[in-house]
Amino acid sequence: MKHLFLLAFFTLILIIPAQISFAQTMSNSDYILELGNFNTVAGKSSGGNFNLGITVGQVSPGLYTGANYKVRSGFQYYPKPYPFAFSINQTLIDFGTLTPTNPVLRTNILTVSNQSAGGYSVNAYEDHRLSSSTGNVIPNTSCDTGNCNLNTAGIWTNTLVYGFGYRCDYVSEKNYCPSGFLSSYYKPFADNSASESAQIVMLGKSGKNQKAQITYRVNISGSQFAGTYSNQIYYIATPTF
Amino acid sequence: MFATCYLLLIGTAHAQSFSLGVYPPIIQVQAKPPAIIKSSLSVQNLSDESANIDIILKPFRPSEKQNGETNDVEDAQTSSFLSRDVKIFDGNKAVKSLSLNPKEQKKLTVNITIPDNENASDYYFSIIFISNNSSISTASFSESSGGIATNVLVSVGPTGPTIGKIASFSAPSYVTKGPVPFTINVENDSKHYITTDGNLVIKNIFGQIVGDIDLLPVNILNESSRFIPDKDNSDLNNPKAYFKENFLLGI
Repeated sequence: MKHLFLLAFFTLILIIPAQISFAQTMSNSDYILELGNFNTVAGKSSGGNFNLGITVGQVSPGLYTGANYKVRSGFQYYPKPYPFAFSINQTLIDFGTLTPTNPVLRTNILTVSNQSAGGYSVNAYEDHRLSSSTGNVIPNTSCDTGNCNLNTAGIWTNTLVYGFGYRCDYVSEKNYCPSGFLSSYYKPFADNSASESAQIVMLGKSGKNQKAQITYRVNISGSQFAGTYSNQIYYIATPTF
Repeated sequence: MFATCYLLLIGTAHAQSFSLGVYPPIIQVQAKPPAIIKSSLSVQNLSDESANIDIILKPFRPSEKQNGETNDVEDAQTSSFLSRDVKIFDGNKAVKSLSLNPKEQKKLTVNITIPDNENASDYYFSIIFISNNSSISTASFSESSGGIATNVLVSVGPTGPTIGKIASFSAPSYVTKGPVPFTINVENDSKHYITTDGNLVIKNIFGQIVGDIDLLPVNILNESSRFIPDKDNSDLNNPKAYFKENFLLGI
Protein backbone atom coordinates (compact mmCIF):
# COMPACT_ATOMS: atom_id res chain seq x y z
CA MET A 1 0.00 0.00 0.00
CA LYS A 2 1.31 3.33 -0.94
CA HIS A 3 1.82 5.99 1.62
CA LEU A 4 2.46 9.46 0.51
CA PHE A 5 4.21 11.82 2.80
CA LEU A 6 4.45 15.50 2.75
CA LEU A 7 7.94 16.46 3.81
CA ALA A 8 8.41 20.09 3.27
CA PHE A 9 9.55 23.30 4.81
CA PHE A 10 7.38 26.31 4.69
CA THR A 11 8.25 29.90 4.34
CA LEU A 12 5.51 32.39 4.87
CA ILE A 13 6.15 35.88 3.69
CA LEU A 14 3.66 38.61 4.34
CA ILE A 15 4.05 42.08 3.01
CA ILE A 16 1.98 44.49 5.04
CA PRO A 17 1.52 47.87 3.49
CA ALA A 18 1.05 50.07 6.48
CA GLN A 19 1.04 53.69 7.35
CA ILE A 20 4.71 53.83 8.04
CA SER A 21 7.51 55.12 5.97
CA PHE A 22 10.02 52.42 6.69
CA ALA A 23 10.21 48.71 6.21
CA GLN A 24 10.09 46.41 9.18
CA THR A 25 10.73 42.74 9.65
CA MET A 26 9.59 40.40 12.37
CA SER A 27 10.43 36.77 12.64
CA ASN A 28 10.45 33.75 14.81
CA SER A 29 12.19 30.43 14.35
CA ASP A 30 9.89 29.38 11.56
CA TYR A 31 8.58 32.40 9.77
CA ILE A 32 9.50 35.83 8.53
CA LEU A 33 7.02 38.67 8.46
CA GLU A 34 8.23 41.45 6.25
CA LEU A 35 6.51 44.79 6.46
CA GLY A 36 6.67 47.14 3.58
CA ASN A 37 5.37 50.66 3.59
CA PHE A 38 2.29 52.38 2.37
CA ASN A 39 3.94 53.60 -0.78
CA THR A 40 4.45 50.05 -1.96
CA VAL A 41 0.72 49.54 -2.39
CA ALA A 42 -0.04 48.39 -5.88
CA GLY A 43 -2.81 50.02 -7.83
CA LYS A 44 -3.77 52.92 -9.96
CA SER A 45 -2.45 56.19 -8.64
CA SER A 46 -3.74 59.48 -9.82
CA GLY A 47 -1.07 61.78 -8.43
CA GLY A 48 -1.93 64.68 -6.20
CA ASN A 49 -5.35 65.59 -7.52
CA PHE A 50 -8.20 63.76 -5.85
CA ASN A 51 -10.63 65.20 -8.39
CA LEU A 52 -9.71 62.40 -10.75
CA GLY A 53 -11.93 60.08 -8.80
CA ILE A 54 -14.61 62.60 -7.99
CA THR A 55 -15.46 65.21 -10.56
CA VAL A 56 -15.15 62.82 -13.45
CA GLY A 57 -17.70 60.73 -11.62
CA GLN A 58 -15.95 57.46 -12.12
CA VAL A 59 -16.46 54.70 -9.63
CA SER A 60 -13.64 52.35 -10.36
CA PRO A 61 -11.24 50.38 -8.26
CA GLY A 62 -7.90 51.95 -7.54
CA LEU A 63 -5.89 54.25 -5.37
CA TYR A 64 -6.75 57.92 -5.32
CA THR A 65 -4.95 60.66 -3.46
CA GLY A 66 -5.84 64.10 -2.23
CA ALA A 67 -4.48 66.66 0.17
CA ASN A 68 -3.43 64.73 3.29
CA TYR A 69 -5.21 61.54 2.35
CA LYS A 70 -5.27 58.42 0.22
CA VAL A 71 -8.35 56.45 -0.69
CA ARG A 72 -8.39 52.91 -1.98
CA SER A 73 -11.65 52.09 -3.64
CA GLY A 74 -12.55 48.43 -3.98
CA PHE A 75 -10.39 45.39 -3.56
CA GLN A 76 -7.32 45.44 -5.76
CA TYR A 77 -7.60 41.74 -6.51
CA TYR A 78 -11.09 42.23 -7.97
CA PRO A 79 -10.21 44.81 -10.60
CA LYS A 80 -13.56 44.96 -12.41
CA PRO A 81 -16.19 47.20 -10.81
CA TYR A 82 -19.03 44.72 -10.68
CA PRO A 83 -21.60 45.82 -8.11
CA PHE A 84 -22.06 43.83 -4.95
CA ALA A 85 -25.73 42.97 -5.44
CA PHE A 86 -28.46 41.56 -3.22
CA SER A 87 -32.00 40.61 -4.18
CA ILE A 88 -35.12 39.34 -2.45
CA ASN A 89 -37.57 37.90 -4.94
CA GLN A 90 -40.63 38.59 -2.83
CA THR A 91 -40.73 40.99 0.06
CA LEU A 92 -44.32 40.63 1.21
CA ILE A 93 -44.86 37.32 2.97
CA ASP A 94 -48.60 36.98 3.31
CA PHE A 95 -49.68 34.35 5.83
CA GLY A 96 -53.36 34.77 5.12
CA THR A 97 -55.81 34.05 7.91
CA LEU A 98 -54.11 32.07 10.64
CA THR A 99 -56.04 29.21 12.17
CA PRO A 100 -55.02 27.25 15.29
CA THR A 101 -52.73 24.24 14.87
CA ASN A 102 -52.54 24.69 11.10
CA PRO A 103 -48.97 25.77 10.41
CA VAL A 104 -48.54 28.17 7.52
CA LEU A 105 -45.37 27.99 5.45
CA ARG A 106 -44.19 30.66 3.05
CA THR A 107 -40.94 31.10 1.18
CA ASN A 108 -38.81 33.67 -0.56
CA ILE A 109 -35.41 33.58 -2.21
CA LEU A 110 -32.32 35.60 -1.31
CA THR A 111 -29.78 36.08 -4.11
CA VAL A 112 -26.30 37.57 -3.84
CA SER A 113 -23.97 38.38 -6.71
CA ASN A 114 -20.56 39.05 -5.29
CA GLN A 115 -17.88 39.52 -7.91
CA SER A 116 -16.03 42.34 -6.27
CA ALA A 117 -15.33 41.11 -2.75
CA GLY A 118 -13.92 37.98 -1.20
CA GLY A 119 -16.89 36.86 0.83
CA TYR A 120 -20.11 38.12 2.31
CA SER A 121 -22.77 37.36 4.85
CA VAL A 122 -26.47 38.17 5.05
CA ASN A 123 -27.67 38.97 8.55
CA ALA A 124 -31.31 39.04 9.52
CA TYR A 125 -33.43 40.35 12.36
CA GLU A 126 -37.06 41.21 12.98
CA ASP A 127 -38.19 44.58 14.27
CA HIS A 128 -40.39 42.78 16.80
CA ARG A 129 -42.34 39.56 17.16
CA LEU A 130 -45.43 39.10 15.02
CA SER A 131 -47.78 41.58 16.67
CA SER A 132 -51.32 42.83 16.24
CA SER A 133 -52.42 46.42 16.42
CA THR A 134 -53.93 45.67 19.83
CA GLY A 135 -50.60 44.53 21.20
CA ASN A 136 -51.08 40.77 21.09
CA VAL A 137 -48.07 38.81 19.95
CA ILE A 138 -47.23 35.45 18.45
CA PRO A 139 -44.10 34.25 20.23
CA ASN A 140 -40.95 33.28 18.43
CA THR A 141 -40.59 29.54 18.18
CA SER A 142 -38.49 27.48 20.52
CA CYS A 143 -39.21 24.35 18.41
CA ASP A 144 -40.47 20.93 19.51
CA THR A 145 -37.94 20.46 22.26
CA GLY A 146 -37.97 24.03 23.48
CA ASN A 147 -34.27 24.24 22.77
CA CYS A 148 -33.88 26.01 19.45
CA ASN A 149 -32.65 29.57 19.68
CA LEU A 150 -30.86 32.25 17.70
CA ASN A 151 -27.74 30.14 17.42
CA THR A 152 -29.10 26.62 17.21
CA ALA A 153 -31.81 25.23 14.95
CA GLY A 154 -34.18 22.58 16.22
CA ILE A 155 -36.78 20.25 14.80
CA TRP A 156 -40.25 21.74 14.60
CA THR A 157 -42.95 19.44 13.25
CA ASN A 158 -45.37 19.22 16.16
CA THR A 159 -48.51 21.17 15.26
CA LEU A 160 -49.17 21.72 18.96
CA VAL A 161 -45.97 23.74 19.26
CA TYR A 162 -46.68 27.36 18.46
CA GLY A 163 -44.70 30.32 17.28
CA PHE A 164 -42.91 31.94 14.37
CA GLY A 165 -39.59 30.88 12.89
CA TYR A 166 -37.60 30.26 9.75
CA ARG A 167 -35.28 27.84 8.08
CA CYS A 168 -32.79 28.13 5.23
CA ASP A 169 -32.54 25.71 2.31
CA TYR A 170 -30.13 25.64 -0.56
CA VAL A 171 -31.55 26.10 -4.01
CA SER A 172 -28.28 26.75 -5.88
CA GLU A 173 -25.76 24.12 -6.84
CA LYS A 174 -24.01 25.01 -3.60
CA ASN A 175 -25.30 25.51 -0.12
CA TYR A 176 -25.09 29.09 1.13
CA CYS A 177 -27.08 28.46 4.31
CA PRO A 178 -25.42 28.36 7.71
CA SER A 179 -24.92 24.88 9.09
CA GLY A 180 -27.54 23.26 11.30
CA PHE A 181 -30.65 23.42 9.18
CA LEU A 182 -31.41 19.72 9.05
CA SER A 183 -34.73 18.58 7.64
CA SER A 184 -37.62 20.35 9.41
CA TYR A 185 -35.23 22.34 11.60
CA TYR A 186 -36.09 25.95 12.38
CA LYS A 187 -34.83 28.93 14.33
CA PRO A 188 -36.40 32.12 15.62
CA PHE A 189 -35.40 35.47 14.14
CA ALA A 190 -33.38 37.83 16.31
CA ASP A 191 -35.79 40.30 17.91
CA ASN A 192 -34.40 43.81 17.60
CA SER A 193 -36.92 45.16 20.11
CA ALA A 194 -35.40 42.78 22.66
CA SER A 195 -31.87 43.95 21.72
CA GLU A 196 -31.00 40.62 20.15
CA SER A 197 -28.18 40.72 17.61
CA ALA A 198 -28.83 39.97 13.96
CA GLN A 199 -27.94 36.45 12.94
CA ILE A 200 -26.35 35.15 9.76
CA VAL A 201 -28.93 33.50 7.50
CA MET A 202 -26.77 33.18 4.40
CA LEU A 203 -23.08 33.39 3.64
CA GLY A 204 -20.88 32.76 0.67
CA LYS A 205 -17.89 33.70 -1.35
CA SER A 206 -17.07 35.37 -4.59
CA GLY A 207 -19.44 34.42 -7.39
CA LYS A 208 -22.67 35.20 -9.20
CA ASN A 209 -26.28 34.38 -8.39
CA GLN A 210 -25.80 32.62 -5.10
CA LYS A 211 -29.22 31.71 -3.77
CA ALA A 212 -30.78 30.56 -0.54
CA GLN A 213 -34.42 29.93 0.20
CA ILE A 214 -35.93 31.16 3.43
CA THR A 215 -39.01 29.30 4.67
CA TYR A 216 -41.19 31.07 7.22
CA ARG A 217 -43.38 29.02 9.50
CA VAL A 218 -46.08 30.34 11.78
CA ASN A 219 -48.40 28.28 13.93
CA ILE A 220 -50.87 29.57 16.52
CA SER A 221 -52.71 28.03 19.43
CA GLY A 222 -56.45 28.00 20.02
CA SER A 223 -56.03 30.68 22.66
CA GLN A 224 -54.33 33.13 20.30
CA PHE A 225 -56.36 36.33 20.07
CA ALA A 226 -57.99 36.88 16.71
CA GLY A 227 -56.48 39.60 14.60
CA THR A 228 -53.90 40.33 11.94
CA TYR A 229 -50.29 40.03 12.98
CA SER A 230 -47.30 41.51 11.24
CA ASN A 231 -43.66 42.39 11.56
CA GLN A 232 -40.69 43.44 9.48
CA ILE A 233 -37.75 41.17 8.69
CA TYR A 234 -34.52 42.94 7.76
CA TYR A 235 -31.89 41.21 5.63
CA ILE A 236 -28.56 43.04 5.36
CA ALA A 237 -25.93 41.75 2.92
CA THR A 238 -22.43 42.82 3.94
CA PRO A 239 -19.19 42.05 2.13
CA THR A 240 -16.10 41.09 4.07
CA PHE A 241 -13.59 43.80 4.76
CA MET B 1 -51.12 13.87 6.90
CA PHE B 2 -49.39 16.87 8.45
CA ALA B 3 -46.90 16.87 5.60
CA THR B 4 -49.76 17.01 3.11
CA CYS B 5 -51.24 19.94 4.98
CA TYR B 6 -47.88 21.75 4.89
CA LEU B 7 -47.57 21.29 1.15
CA LEU B 8 -51.02 22.65 0.58
CA LEU B 9 -50.29 25.63 2.74
CA ILE B 10 -46.99 26.52 1.12
CA GLY B 11 -47.62 29.45 -1.10
CA THR B 12 -46.41 32.77 -2.27
CA ALA B 13 -47.98 36.16 -2.20
CA HIS B 14 -47.68 39.47 -4.00
CA ALA B 15 -44.71 39.94 -6.28
CA GLN B 16 -42.89 42.75 -4.55
CA SER B 17 -39.17 42.47 -4.82
CA PHE B 18 -35.94 44.10 -3.77
CA SER B 19 -32.72 44.20 -5.75
CA LEU B 20 -29.91 46.62 -5.09
CA GLY B 21 -26.27 46.81 -6.09
CA VAL B 22 -23.46 48.89 -4.67
CA TYR B 23 -19.89 49.60 -5.68
CA PRO B 24 -17.25 49.65 -4.28
CA PRO B 25 -17.73 47.06 -1.53
CA ILE B 26 -14.95 48.67 0.47
CA ILE B 27 -13.41 52.12 0.83
CA GLN B 28 -10.10 52.44 2.64
CA VAL B 29 -8.99 55.86 3.78
CA GLN B 30 -5.70 56.92 5.28
CA ALA B 31 -5.54 60.56 6.26
CA LYS B 32 -3.73 63.10 8.33
CA PRO B 33 -5.59 66.08 9.78
CA PRO B 34 -6.83 68.32 8.40
CA ALA B 35 -8.41 66.64 5.40
CA ILE B 36 -11.64 66.62 3.50
CA ILE B 37 -11.99 63.25 1.86
CA LYS B 38 -14.30 62.57 -1.01
CA SER B 39 -14.88 59.13 -2.42
CA SER B 40 -17.39 58.03 -4.99
CA LEU B 41 -19.99 55.38 -4.36
CA SER B 42 -22.46 53.96 -6.82
CA VAL B 43 -25.82 52.48 -5.88
CA GLN B 44 -28.22 50.95 -8.39
CA ASN B 45 -31.77 49.74 -8.16
CA LEU B 46 -31.60 46.49 -10.13
CA SER B 47 -35.30 45.69 -9.83
CA ASP B 48 -38.23 46.63 -12.05
CA GLU B 49 -39.90 48.48 -9.20
CA SER B 50 -39.06 51.82 -7.67
CA ALA B 51 -37.31 51.72 -4.32
CA ASN B 52 -37.19 54.01 -1.32
CA ILE B 53 -33.87 53.62 0.38
CA ASP B 54 -32.65 54.79 3.77
CA ILE B 55 -28.93 55.34 4.31
CA ILE B 56 -27.61 54.21 7.66
CA LEU B 57 -24.06 54.42 9.01
CA LYS B 58 -23.15 51.71 11.52
CA PRO B 59 -19.86 51.08 13.33
CA PHE B 60 -18.51 47.55 13.15
CA ARG B 61 -15.73 45.40 14.52
CA PRO B 62 -14.41 42.10 13.21
CA SER B 63 -16.41 38.99 13.96
CA GLU B 64 -14.97 36.66 16.57
CA LYS B 65 -14.70 34.11 13.76
CA GLN B 66 -11.76 36.17 12.45
CA ASN B 67 -12.75 35.49 8.85
CA GLY B 68 -13.55 39.01 7.67
CA GLU B 69 -17.19 39.06 8.71
CA THR B 70 -18.38 42.15 10.51
CA ASN B 71 -20.24 42.55 13.78
CA ASP B 72 -22.27 45.67 14.39
CA VAL B 73 -21.21 47.35 17.61
CA GLU B 74 -22.26 50.26 19.72
CA ASP B 75 -19.21 52.47 19.70
CA ALA B 76 -19.74 55.95 21.08
CA GLN B 77 -16.53 57.37 19.62
CA THR B 78 -17.22 56.08 16.11
CA SER B 79 -20.90 57.04 16.34
CA SER B 80 -19.90 60.56 17.25
CA PHE B 81 -17.44 60.64 14.35
CA LEU B 82 -20.13 59.38 11.97
CA SER B 83 -22.75 61.90 13.01
CA ARG B 84 -20.30 64.79 13.04
CA ASP B 85 -17.87 64.17 10.19
CA VAL B 86 -19.36 61.75 7.65
CA LYS B 87 -21.95 62.77 5.11
CA ILE B 88 -23.32 61.15 1.98
CA PHE B 89 -23.92 63.56 -0.87
CA ASP B 90 -26.19 63.19 -3.86
CA GLY B 91 -24.81 65.97 -6.01
CA ASN B 92 -24.49 68.99 -3.74
CA LYS B 93 -27.05 67.80 -1.23
CA ALA B 94 -26.35 65.72 1.86
CA VAL B 95 -28.87 62.88 1.95
CA LYS B 96 -30.06 60.25 4.39
CA SER B 97 -32.49 58.60 2.00
CA LEU B 98 -32.92 58.03 -1.71
CA SER B 99 -35.68 57.24 -4.15
CA LEU B 100 -34.55 55.12 -7.05
CA ASN B 101 -36.57 54.41 -10.15
CA PRO B 102 -36.41 50.95 -11.70
CA LYS B 103 -32.86 50.26 -12.93
CA GLU B 104 -31.75 53.74 -11.86
CA GLN B 105 -28.16 54.18 -10.78
CA LYS B 106 -26.94 57.02 -8.62
CA LYS B 107 -23.41 58.11 -8.00
CA LEU B 108 -23.00 59.41 -4.49
CA THR B 109 -20.07 60.97 -2.72
CA VAL B 110 -18.89 59.92 0.70
CA ASN B 111 -17.59 63.06 2.34
CA ILE B 112 -15.42 62.63 5.42
CA THR B 113 -14.10 65.63 7.27
CA ILE B 114 -11.04 65.21 9.45
CA PRO B 115 -10.69 68.39 11.51
CA ASP B 116 -7.31 69.78 12.40
CA ASN B 117 -7.61 68.74 16.03
CA GLU B 118 -8.60 65.13 15.31
CA ASN B 119 -6.56 62.64 17.27
CA ALA B 120 -4.95 59.66 15.62
CA SER B 121 -7.54 56.93 15.55
CA ASP B 122 -9.22 54.33 13.35
CA TYR B 123 -12.92 54.23 12.52
CA TYR B 124 -14.68 51.30 10.89
CA PHE B 125 -18.23 51.56 9.69
CA SER B 126 -20.70 50.26 7.13
CA ILE B 127 -22.79 52.42 4.86
CA ILE B 128 -26.05 50.49 4.62
CA PHE B 129 -28.65 51.12 1.95
CA ILE B 130 -31.86 49.62 3.23
CA SER B 131 -35.31 49.60 1.68
CA ASN B 132 -38.09 51.25 3.62
CA ASN B 133 -41.02 50.20 1.49
CA SER B 134 -44.05 49.30 3.53
CA SER B 135 -46.98 47.11 2.63
CA ILE B 136 -50.58 47.02 3.70
CA SER B 137 -52.38 43.73 4.00
CA THR B 138 -55.66 42.62 5.47
CA ALA B 139 -54.05 39.35 6.52
CA SER B 140 -51.15 38.53 8.80
CA PHE B 141 -47.81 39.08 7.11
CA SER B 142 -44.08 39.63 7.40
CA GLU B 143 -42.46 42.29 5.29
CA SER B 144 -38.90 41.62 4.16
CA SER B 145 -36.69 44.68 3.91
CA GLY B 146 -33.44 44.26 2.03
CA GLY B 147 -30.24 46.11 2.74
CA ILE B 148 -26.78 46.14 1.26
CA ALA B 149 -23.61 47.49 2.78
CA THR B 150 -20.28 48.99 1.83
CA ASN B 151 -17.55 48.90 4.43
CA VAL B 152 -15.36 51.92 5.14
CA LEU B 153 -12.04 51.80 6.97
CA VAL B 154 -10.72 55.17 8.07
CA SER B 155 -7.31 55.55 9.61
CA VAL B 156 -6.45 58.98 10.94
CA GLY B 157 -2.76 59.56 11.46
CA PRO B 158 -0.08 60.16 12.25
CA THR B 159 -0.08 56.49 13.00
CA GLY B 160 2.19 54.72 15.40
CA PRO B 161 4.42 51.79 14.60
CA THR B 162 3.02 48.77 12.84
CA ILE B 163 3.16 45.80 15.17
CA GLY B 164 2.02 42.36 14.21
CA LYS B 165 2.85 38.73 14.19
CA ILE B 166 1.84 35.41 12.76
CA ALA B 167 -0.30 34.28 15.65
CA SER B 168 -0.70 30.75 14.41
CA PHE B 169 0.38 28.65 11.50
CA SER B 170 -0.45 25.00 11.11
CA ALA B 171 -0.78 22.17 8.64
CA PRO B 172 -1.65 18.52 9.03
CA SER B 173 1.37 16.62 10.28
CA TYR B 174 0.54 13.62 8.13
CA VAL B 175 -1.32 13.55 4.85
CA THR B 176 -1.75 10.91 2.19
CA LYS B 177 -2.96 13.16 -0.58
CA GLY B 178 -3.61 16.77 -1.39
CA PRO B 179 -4.87 19.38 -1.37
CA VAL B 180 -3.18 20.28 1.89
CA PRO B 181 -4.88 22.93 4.05
CA PHE B 182 -2.76 25.51 5.87
CA THR B 183 -4.20 27.57 8.67
CA ILE B 184 -2.64 31.02 8.90
CA ASN B 185 -3.69 33.57 11.47
CA VAL B 186 -2.09 37.00 11.58
CA GLU B 187 -2.46 39.33 14.53
CA ASN B 188 -2.36 43.10 14.17
CA ASP B 189 -1.33 44.71 17.44
CA SER B 190 -1.16 48.17 15.90
CA LYS B 191 -3.53 51.02 16.61
CA HIS B 192 -4.39 51.15 12.90
CA TYR B 193 -5.56 48.64 10.33
CA ILE B 194 -3.08 46.93 8.06
CA THR B 195 -3.37 45.31 4.66
CA THR B 196 -1.48 42.10 4.12
CA ASP B 197 -0.14 40.68 0.92
CA GLY B 198 1.88 37.52 1.00
CA ASN B 199 2.59 34.09 -0.21
CA LEU B 200 3.43 30.72 1.24
CA VAL B 201 6.51 29.00 -0.18
CA ILE B 202 6.76 25.25 0.27
CA LYS B 203 10.11 23.51 -0.02
CA ASN B 204 10.91 19.83 0.09
CA ILE B 205 13.68 18.27 2.16
CA PHE B 206 16.16 19.04 -0.61
CA GLY B 207 15.37 22.72 -0.48
CA GLN B 208 13.57 22.73 -3.78
CA ILE B 209 10.51 24.90 -4.06
CA VAL B 210 7.55 22.63 -4.70
CA GLY B 211 4.74 25.06 -4.07
CA ASP B 212 4.04 28.79 -3.94
CA ILE B 213 0.59 29.76 -2.71
CA ASP B 214 -0.62 33.32 -3.18
CA LEU B 215 -2.51 34.45 -0.12
CA LEU B 216 -5.60 36.60 -0.33
CA PRO B 217 -4.75 40.22 0.47
CA VAL B 218 -6.85 41.12 3.50
CA ASN B 219 -7.35 43.98 5.88
CA ILE B 220 -6.75 43.28 9.53
CA LEU B 221 -8.33 45.85 11.80
CA ASN B 222 -6.49 47.36 14.73
CA GLU B 223 -5.84 45.05 17.67
CA SER B 224 -7.46 42.07 16.00
CA SER B 225 -6.54 38.86 14.21
CA ARG B 226 -7.64 37.29 10.99
CA PHE B 227 -7.31 33.98 9.22
CA ILE B 228 -5.82 34.37 5.77
CA PRO B 229 -6.97 32.03 2.98
CA ASP B 230 -5.39 31.61 -0.42
CA LYS B 231 -6.46 33.86 -3.28
CA ASP B 232 -8.80 31.28 -4.73
CA ASN B 233 -10.58 30.53 -1.50
CA SER B 234 -13.03 33.11 -0.23
CA ASP B 235 -15.12 30.60 1.70
CA LEU B 236 -15.90 32.24 5.03
CA ASN B 237 -16.61 28.88 6.65
CA ASN B 238 -13.17 27.61 5.84
CA PRO B 239 -10.59 30.39 5.56
CA LYS B 240 -7.55 28.25 4.79
CA ALA B 241 -4.77 28.35 2.25
CA TYR B 242 -4.69 25.22 0.11
CA PHE B 243 -1.67 23.60 -1.48
CA LYS B 244 -3.48 22.14 -4.47
CA GLU B 245 -1.10 19.31 -5.18
CA ASN B 246 -2.74 15.92 -5.28
CA PHE B 247 0.43 13.87 -5.53
CA LEU B 248 2.76 14.70 -2.69
CA LEU B 249 6.37 13.78 -2.21
CA GLY B 250 7.49 10.25 -1.35
CA ILE B 251 6.10 6.76 -1.83
